[in-house]
Amino acid sequence: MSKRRIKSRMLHSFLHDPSAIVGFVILVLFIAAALLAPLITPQNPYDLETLTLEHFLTPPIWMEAGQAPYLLGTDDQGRGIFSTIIYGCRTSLFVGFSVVLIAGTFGVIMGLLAGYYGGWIDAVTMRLADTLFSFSTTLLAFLFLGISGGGSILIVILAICIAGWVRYARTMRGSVLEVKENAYIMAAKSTGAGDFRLLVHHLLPNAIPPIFVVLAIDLAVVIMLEATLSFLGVGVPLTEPSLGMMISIGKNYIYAGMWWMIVFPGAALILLVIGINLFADWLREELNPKIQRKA
Amino acid sequence: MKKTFYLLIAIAVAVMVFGSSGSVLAASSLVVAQDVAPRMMNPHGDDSDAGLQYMANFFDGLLQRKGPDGTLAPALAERWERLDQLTWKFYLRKGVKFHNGNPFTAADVKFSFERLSNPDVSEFINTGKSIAGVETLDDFTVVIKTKEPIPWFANNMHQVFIMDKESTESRDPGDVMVKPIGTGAYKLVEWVKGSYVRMEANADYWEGAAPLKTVEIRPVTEASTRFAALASGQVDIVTGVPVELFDKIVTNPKLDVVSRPARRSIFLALNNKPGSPTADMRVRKAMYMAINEDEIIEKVMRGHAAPAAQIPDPPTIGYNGNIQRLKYDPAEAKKLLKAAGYENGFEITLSGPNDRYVQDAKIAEAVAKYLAKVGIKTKLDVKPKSIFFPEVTEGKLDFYLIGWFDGTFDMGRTYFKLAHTRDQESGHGVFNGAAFSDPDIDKLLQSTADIVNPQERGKVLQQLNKMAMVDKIAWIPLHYQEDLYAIQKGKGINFKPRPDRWMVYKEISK
Repeated sequence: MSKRRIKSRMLHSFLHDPSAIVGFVILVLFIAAALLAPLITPQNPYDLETLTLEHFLTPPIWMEAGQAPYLLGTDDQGRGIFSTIIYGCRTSLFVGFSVVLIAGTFGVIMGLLAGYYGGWIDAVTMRLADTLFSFSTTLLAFLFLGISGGGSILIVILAICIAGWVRYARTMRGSVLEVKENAYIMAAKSTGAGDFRLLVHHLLPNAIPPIFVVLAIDLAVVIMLEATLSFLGVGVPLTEPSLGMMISIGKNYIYAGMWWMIVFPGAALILLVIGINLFADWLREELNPKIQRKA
Repeated sequence: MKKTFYLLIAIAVAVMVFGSSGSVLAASSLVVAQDVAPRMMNPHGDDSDAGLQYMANFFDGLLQRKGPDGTLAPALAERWERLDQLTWKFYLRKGVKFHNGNPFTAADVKFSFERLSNPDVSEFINTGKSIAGVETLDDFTVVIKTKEPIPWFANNMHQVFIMDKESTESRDPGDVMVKPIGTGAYKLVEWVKGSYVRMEANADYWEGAAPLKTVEIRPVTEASTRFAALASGQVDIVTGVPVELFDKIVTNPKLDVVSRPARRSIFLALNNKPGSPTADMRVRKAMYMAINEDEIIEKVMRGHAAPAAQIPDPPTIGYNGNIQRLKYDPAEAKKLLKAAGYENGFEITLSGPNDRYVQDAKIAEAVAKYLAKVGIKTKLDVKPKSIFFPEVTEGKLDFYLIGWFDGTFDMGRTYFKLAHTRDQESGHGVFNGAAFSDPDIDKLLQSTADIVNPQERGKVLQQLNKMAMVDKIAWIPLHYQEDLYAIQKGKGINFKPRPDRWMVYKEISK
């Protein structure tokens, strides 16, 4: 099957999978909103110079005490919920993509080397991976944030990466072991291709498809993890927007009847994660030859 | 087979019978959800009010503070006198017994005071080190000599608890940490860390047995969980009602809110290290004037606070009613910053706890906002109290939010801890976390140590207070907190909060 044919087949199946389309549209909308945040939000909720307490705890605009431009109401510091959610998604997606990129790259390289060379490189890498894998990612991130003191988004990204690369490394290694046995690898080897050429030009492109699946699933996992850490107060600092932090603030007001502070950010987080997962599901079925497709 | 069956039935019946008899007793029992958990049951190991308020039920001091006003009253000492600048004589109460039956004598007092200076078991090192010697004249007379004159020495005697010498020495140190043996109105029944503390009234208490037979305290640090426990009827009293739920509780027909102005003031401490922007008086003044305290009280505290112009509260010796807050004036603040050469502002980090005071992190956020509006870029560094307070005592911070009230009602003691230049040797300035230092303040403060007469003291301390707040802007005062409690209505709970916020169960009835 030529590359072009694979592409057209994937497009075909994508267009015939409603849930994949829904997921993709959601994801694109969120990414667009995050990128265009300053243009589409009525207020920058994290600009301390303009933020005031004047309109704090305003309910959503359709309720009696609602006020323009606070579409979904405001929180206890006068931040508009709508604006904060958009800025919060910016943080979520930034952390999500950064981790996936950093942990993914590192994991792929480690998996590639482990799978190709085997021996002690394989043993050391995989034992390290097993060790990290036996702890929960949340716990490891918590530990790292506790030791480093936290306090910035970059540290949060690093904290999640510490255990995040393992999944990529294991998947890549497995895939490389499989691809390695193919005749064309032998052929390339026999024509005198060096290690680097083999790794980069033959193994990497042929072994990488499963990584895209891991990547898509991991994006949702990382976004949830960032929200969890921020909810617990060890994630992004108080002066940066985060969905997790919004939910954490909102929970103090549930019993006071101010539901909008927790419901909207919660819904946004769920929607974003569902969107990514729907898309990831389709990708998994598409790229995994073991799953028999009906059509 | 059949036997076991009957045995099981018998057990079930017994459980039902005893279970229901429990609810008969309920009339004189109380369940409280507290916002703080005890760290240990060693009365000298935790000098925070959060811990002392638990200990006050198991132990007695030589003196006590009576609710609801906090007046100093006799406890294990029937009376006391100051023989000279350095010497205090206490006449002990006779016939008092510890929970294990041991009689209370002067030897226990001597033992307890000497224990204060042992860093392994005590956080009262400063008090311990200030004592030159404890002498027992007979079984019921004690003379305590201090190294330097301490005018407020007796005022502090309600928080130094007396332990049983015999059982403290004979028991394993670990056991002492978890099982309190005191003379107090309550005996510990069971402490399950993180779950509950159960206590029962001491029938032989020297003041007579307390009206509540059993008390169960559940430490619940999460405010909304505390409220849920109250609303569902699981607990009788909750402490630390969050201000955002106040309106909700007031309108609930089953619940009552009890509030009282708290003694604790909340303020911002800032360094004056030479060369730093905050060393400039104009900058200090500008920061003060940039903060809209009225809005903080209205919006962040939801009206449950009173503006403060100084650290001590009115009943404290040294409180100066003539000190006024600088008015909120951001335009003037900008002018002052310009005059000081900071037209484009500067960067500063505001630290603070996020789980200690009412709305602490929210206040810090609001302050950051006000400062940003006059051009001072403020980074926020709020963290759990367990990380924050060690940073204060290590003097590592530049600018932070903290709260304070003095259990001794003497501003001199407060100032030695908060305002005096940091000095490891003497222990002065131990809570001066921004390493503020001013020779005039130090000098005037030291001169008050020899003044015993309360009126005389008051005069000099008021002068010192004015110097610190007006001339030097040692701190930026914000507000006095209000303590909020909620109780079940219609259960006949008679509860009056204390000024020190301690929960002393012998003062509560039902």
